[in-house]
Amino acid sequence: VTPTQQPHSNPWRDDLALVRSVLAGDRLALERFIDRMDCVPAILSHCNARRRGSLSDEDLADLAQEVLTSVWERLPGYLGQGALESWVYPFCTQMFQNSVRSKRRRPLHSDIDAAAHLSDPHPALGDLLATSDLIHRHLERLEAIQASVIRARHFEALSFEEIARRLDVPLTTAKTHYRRGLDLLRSYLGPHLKHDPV
Amino acid sequence: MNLHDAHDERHDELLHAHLAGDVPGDDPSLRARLTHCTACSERLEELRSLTELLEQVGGAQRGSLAPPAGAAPTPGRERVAATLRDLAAGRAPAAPPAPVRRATLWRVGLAAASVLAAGWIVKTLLPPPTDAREDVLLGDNVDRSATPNGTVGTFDAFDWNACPSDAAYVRVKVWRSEQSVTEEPIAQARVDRLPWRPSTADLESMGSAIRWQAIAYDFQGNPIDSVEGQAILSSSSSD
Repeated sequence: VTPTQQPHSNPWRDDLALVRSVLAGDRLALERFIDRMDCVPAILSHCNARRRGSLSDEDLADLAQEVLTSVWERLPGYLGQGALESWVYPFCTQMFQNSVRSKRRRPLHSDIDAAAHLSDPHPALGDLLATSDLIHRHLERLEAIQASVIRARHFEALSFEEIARRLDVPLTTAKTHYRRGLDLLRSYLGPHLKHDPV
Repeated sequence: MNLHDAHDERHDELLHAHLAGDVPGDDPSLRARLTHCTACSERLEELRSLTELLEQVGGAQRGSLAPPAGAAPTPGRERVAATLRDLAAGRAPAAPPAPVRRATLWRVGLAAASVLAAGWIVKTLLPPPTDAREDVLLGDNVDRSATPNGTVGTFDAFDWNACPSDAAYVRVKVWRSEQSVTEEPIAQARVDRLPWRPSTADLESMGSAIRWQAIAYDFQGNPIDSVEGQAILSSSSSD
């Protein structure tokens, strides 16, 4: 028995509609977008907590403004293949890392382990941030739909059924994209997934 | 299915089906495959490691998006609306209040001057082999203890206690002091964890005076920073 087909709520599509409205100059949409972008300072503060307060409140506020500017410039590139916050997240982590790097130098011991922690099931907090940055950069190398399925599965904790509905593709197609993306990601990160002898 | 077939795409499908939860861990064909195919068991281990990492990264991401429990003010939150309204209106985002901005610019100017000064120090005051100073200044206004440097008792530990936050590894090269850095190093190593401890054979080849260089690389293998030192054994200098 097939259940009655109901139009499924699709938050990604709603996010895409919001962004398009913002870019079209819709003032009400802009106010809703502003509410959503409260995630930027929140993510940066979280990154900073993981780095044990590398940046001052003033630096974080400056950085939030820089991230928002960068997000705005790239906004036309948002295609609704993931939640808006997921799309914004790597902007925050990458620019936070850059900011910490330019502001001060960190002890080698805590950072050089980022690659080693790819094979460590329990990375330290600071290392996880570097690892997160690395994984986001490699996700950018995948086909958009492959990256989208992997992000949805692991970053938004969605089931394959939910992902298939949001992407409007059959369940098997969603799984195939996931598998191909994961295989590529494994090949990109392969040198780090195994311990690299000197 | 012949369990001794070479690893192929069908095997990958089985592994992925297992990871997706479609094939249980006690499935006979999966167990047989993992028992008889080394490539399968290695690949499954790598995929598990990767999915665990993705889960951890995803968990951190979800955690950062969750509302903070303590409701402490989030730095920068007050600028979100003004910044985005400015950008939407085609204006550059307004600068923060003047006193803060002046202070920031003052610090930037001071930092830039320090970088220039520190760069000059590196070029002109790099300690000679007999200099006992331990800190080496590079162009970032940060003291970094580079070991061994100056007059030392041993060359048995090469350490560099500050490095870019996104360094993936460091490559260390050592020359005898009379050698040029364009010559083949007498010892070199890729270092994933400091300090680097040269082997006994390396130590013997170093003699009593060395110069060394360490270069930090990012995950793409691009050099992003470097430090160098010169050192002489104290037993040799007192001769």
